[in-house]
Amino acid sequence: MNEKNYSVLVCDDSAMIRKTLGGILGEWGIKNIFEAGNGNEAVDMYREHHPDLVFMDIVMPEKTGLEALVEIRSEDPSARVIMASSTGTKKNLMTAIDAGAFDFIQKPFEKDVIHTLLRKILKGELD
Amino acid sequence: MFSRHFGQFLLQEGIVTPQTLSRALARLSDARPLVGILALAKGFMTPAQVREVNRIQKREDKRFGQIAIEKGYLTAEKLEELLSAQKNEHVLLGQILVEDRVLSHEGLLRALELYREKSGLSPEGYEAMTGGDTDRAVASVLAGQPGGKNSLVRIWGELFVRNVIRFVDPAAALDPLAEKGNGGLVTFLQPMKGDRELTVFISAEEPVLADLARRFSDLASGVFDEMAREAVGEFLNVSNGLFTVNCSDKGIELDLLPQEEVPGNDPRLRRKPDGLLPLLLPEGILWAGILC
Repeated sequence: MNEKNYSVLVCDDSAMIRKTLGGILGEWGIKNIFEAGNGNEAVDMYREHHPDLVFMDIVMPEKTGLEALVEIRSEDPSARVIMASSTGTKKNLMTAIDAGAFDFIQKPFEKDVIHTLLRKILKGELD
Repeated sequence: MFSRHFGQFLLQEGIVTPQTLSRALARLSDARPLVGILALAKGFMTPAQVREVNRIQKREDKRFGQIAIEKGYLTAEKLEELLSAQKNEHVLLGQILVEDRVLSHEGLLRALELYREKSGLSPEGYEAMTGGDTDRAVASVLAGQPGGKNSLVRIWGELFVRNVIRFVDPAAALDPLAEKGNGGLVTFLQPMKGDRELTVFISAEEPVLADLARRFSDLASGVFDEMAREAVGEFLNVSNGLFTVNCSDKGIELDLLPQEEVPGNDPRLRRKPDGLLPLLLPEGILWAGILC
């Protein structure tokens, strides 16, 4: 499936989550996986690599995922950012939608949910 | 579940040996609670009455409940209540120990009474603990604590225990007999702000947290290393996240802040928590607290 070399940025302060998501993305043949541990790193890495997709946690030190989302989308309105967080409150959902998040997934991740999402976003474009 | 906790109690009291307990626990999943043992545990029948009905059962092809009603030991309503309770794991361990002749009927009754007395639980709390009613059991353990009447503390407590059962160990049990010291405990805490300011923490010895991490994440090996720390932190994060969602549905907005691993003597842990729950896991006690 990897005719176009897809790249994904995974931003989460938990190395465990980054590894878990990285593993799922790897199953899709995605090799260009960038990792960021907080919102600041995420913004920097987005600027540098312009990934096709971003998975973004919300609660992180230094800069939250919502702040990073706003910054990334203000620089690149076409950025596709999926918020991936344990705290799917109405307020966070609304803020994320208002800021242009592509989708919101609730932790703990279910592999099937990630697969469905990836199928929707990536496979659709490759077929 | 109550069986593990009650087994621990029997062990601590010297009523059973580690070997007999281990054998009995191994048989738990295949066993089904008997009406006679349930009637005994609920105080509906005496040991002598249960033995008499058991004797009659050997010569008459009748069910325990039918004989007990005929003898006037049970009413139809009481029998109905016992049959409903059969669905729970209620005092199943005690039943196995009676079957294995580790305990007599009288011994089981004394052990249950001793447990009730030492746990300090109200009759309702005891009923909830033994019947596997998690929410009522949590309320009972929180009763008498500073935040026992605080609905937010109750919501947190009920949700936290359900999360442990769901994500970590289906057999996790509240242990109202556990005693907390801070020595040797590793603590993860996570503050929240918004409509309220509060902090939730979990504390335990390293082996307990290592085991929690392994059960929560395939990536953790069972050793308390960096990955285990990540997994414990993520479990707390997930649990607290679901708490914020629950609060949000009730009109209370809370934002999670990054969590920290702190020593047991961290100043924030000096004051008595508004809610503190001891959960018995395979490797020991996991303490969960909330400071409002």
